[in-house]
Amino acid sequence: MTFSWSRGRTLAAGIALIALTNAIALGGVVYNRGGEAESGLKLTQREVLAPHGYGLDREGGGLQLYLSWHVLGPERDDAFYWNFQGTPEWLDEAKLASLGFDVSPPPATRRASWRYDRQLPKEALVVLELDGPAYQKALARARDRAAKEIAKGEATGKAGPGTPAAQAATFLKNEETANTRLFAVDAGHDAQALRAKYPDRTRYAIVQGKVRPYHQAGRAKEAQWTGYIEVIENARVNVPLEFRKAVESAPRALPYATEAATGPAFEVTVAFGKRFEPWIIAAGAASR
Amino acid sequence: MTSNSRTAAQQRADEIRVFEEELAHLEREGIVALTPAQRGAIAAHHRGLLARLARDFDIDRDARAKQLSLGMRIASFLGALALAASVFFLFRQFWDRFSTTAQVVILIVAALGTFGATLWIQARESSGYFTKLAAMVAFACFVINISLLGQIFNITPSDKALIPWAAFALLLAYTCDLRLLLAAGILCIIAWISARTGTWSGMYWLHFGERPENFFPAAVILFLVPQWIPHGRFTGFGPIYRVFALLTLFLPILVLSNWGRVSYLDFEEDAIEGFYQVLGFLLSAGAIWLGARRHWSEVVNTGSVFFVIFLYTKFFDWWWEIMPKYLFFLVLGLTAVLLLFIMRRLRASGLFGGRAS
Repeated sequence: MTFSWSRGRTLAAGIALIALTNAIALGGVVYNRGGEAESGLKLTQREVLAPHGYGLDREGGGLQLYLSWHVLGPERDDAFYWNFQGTPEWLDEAKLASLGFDVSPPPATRRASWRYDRQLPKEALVVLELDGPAYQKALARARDRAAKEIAKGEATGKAGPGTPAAQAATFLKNEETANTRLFAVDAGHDAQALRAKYPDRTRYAIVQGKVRPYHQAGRAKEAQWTGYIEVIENARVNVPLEFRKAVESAPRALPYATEAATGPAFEVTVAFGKRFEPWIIAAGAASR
Repeated sequence: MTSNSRTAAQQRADEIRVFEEELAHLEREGIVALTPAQRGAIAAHHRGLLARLARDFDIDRDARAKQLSLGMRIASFLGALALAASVFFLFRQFWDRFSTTAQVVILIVAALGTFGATLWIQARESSGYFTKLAAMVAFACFVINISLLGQIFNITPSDKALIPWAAFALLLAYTCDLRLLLAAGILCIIAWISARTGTWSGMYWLHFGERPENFFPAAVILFLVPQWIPHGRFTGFGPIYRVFALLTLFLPILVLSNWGRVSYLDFEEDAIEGFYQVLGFLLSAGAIWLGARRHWSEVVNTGSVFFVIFLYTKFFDWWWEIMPKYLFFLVLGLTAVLLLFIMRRLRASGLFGGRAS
């Protein structure tokens, strides 16, 4: 093999390489966005967050919005206020097996089982549901919790700031007005099957993600395989220049923002294409 | 200029300098005595030859020039990294002021323009220092080109991007004889092969680092590249392939010999760690032997470093807790002395003598 290329051939090879790579990347974008979008969700400031510190870093590059999503986990007292992206209740052993994970019981020895349950994550298609049954269930749980804690507080005389009753009431308010309504409700490998199960393209988006399993230790009944969604790919959505002004003028979309209490003031429509990659197609004040 | 002829020119200049020094020694000791005419003829010939080589290839004509060249190489290396970083932050500073179309055009034009500029500079510069700066900026622009396209259009990250990056780095490296770009290309190749190896086992590609065995195929391939493809015309390319190959082999072994739980092997953790400890000793000793046989000093050095690291980590495991610290470090020191004796004996015995390649 010889490397004695003329400068002309080197130049041609380099230009071809740059052009071909860009063509493949842009061709993929055209394919993804071609035809009718696979799904399109109208999100509010509750579901899209500006990155922390945006506007403070003058060298931060372009603006991206972060898709805020939750899961509905098993109802647990000790994790009620923080288990938003933990284990979804639908991600059981059967679901993990369908995603290609080995869910057979780990070896008996502790040392072997430790290694055994460190299975690495796999790619999966995740279904995101907007303002659907999962959100309603989360809301109902928050209401039940608030009712119980307030009743308990009234009975014991502990209802002031900082008490469990006040915490539950604040959480309910946030869940009603500020927290995201976007929930991961299913996962699989077959996009068509998932779409058949969730046909409403304005409420359900299929996105790419990664699922990681882990073995929950415990007694015979409690010991089981479970897992969590490690990441939703492309959860950061680039904001093109034409939508920048609208996005920047939106109220700060933080979970505890008081502006959100007045209802959605900002709306951004995110489309998902054939490769499940998102892009913004509209942004502006929400229609009330 | 071709890289080969520049290397040959520098080698010839070095030979002339050594010849002059040796001739002066021989004359002082009365071994030879050239006539003034002979001495003058040789000196004139060398002067003319060095002047022509310096003009055509920007070689170092004496030891002082060589020292300055080393400084220029270091400045060129640091400058290349700094300029690449500058381009990256330039994009970040002004990026959000452009429309999507303008962003795409800027990215492609930047990659093409810096590549063209690199070749233009290379055609006009014989030393290679400015070519290295330009090539590094061109590579940075191409990496930023693809990365930012991914960000602009929310493209799912893929290991496939590593292929054109590697190809571009290697094209620049081989065209301009640049070891820095060769190293960049090799790193992309290591990442891509390891990611592919990982995906064959079903994992998501970005997690290839969580199973260190994924790096082994890349190590083997890299080690064989200079065997399959002669690199004599390129300064130091063969050693770079071999050093990266050995690092890609020994670093994962070092990890596995201490944390067996991250292995693919389905055995008890202790058994896996023991297996990789033995393998580490055998392969590092084998690298020392092979390097000595083939006169690959970089292989000998890398093998030696890892042999000592494997040895010292075992010593740490065995004795750190139970020995007083002064005794532990004394044992380390004495072991180093013992290794020096062994290697000196081996060198004197000529056991490792062999053909250079």
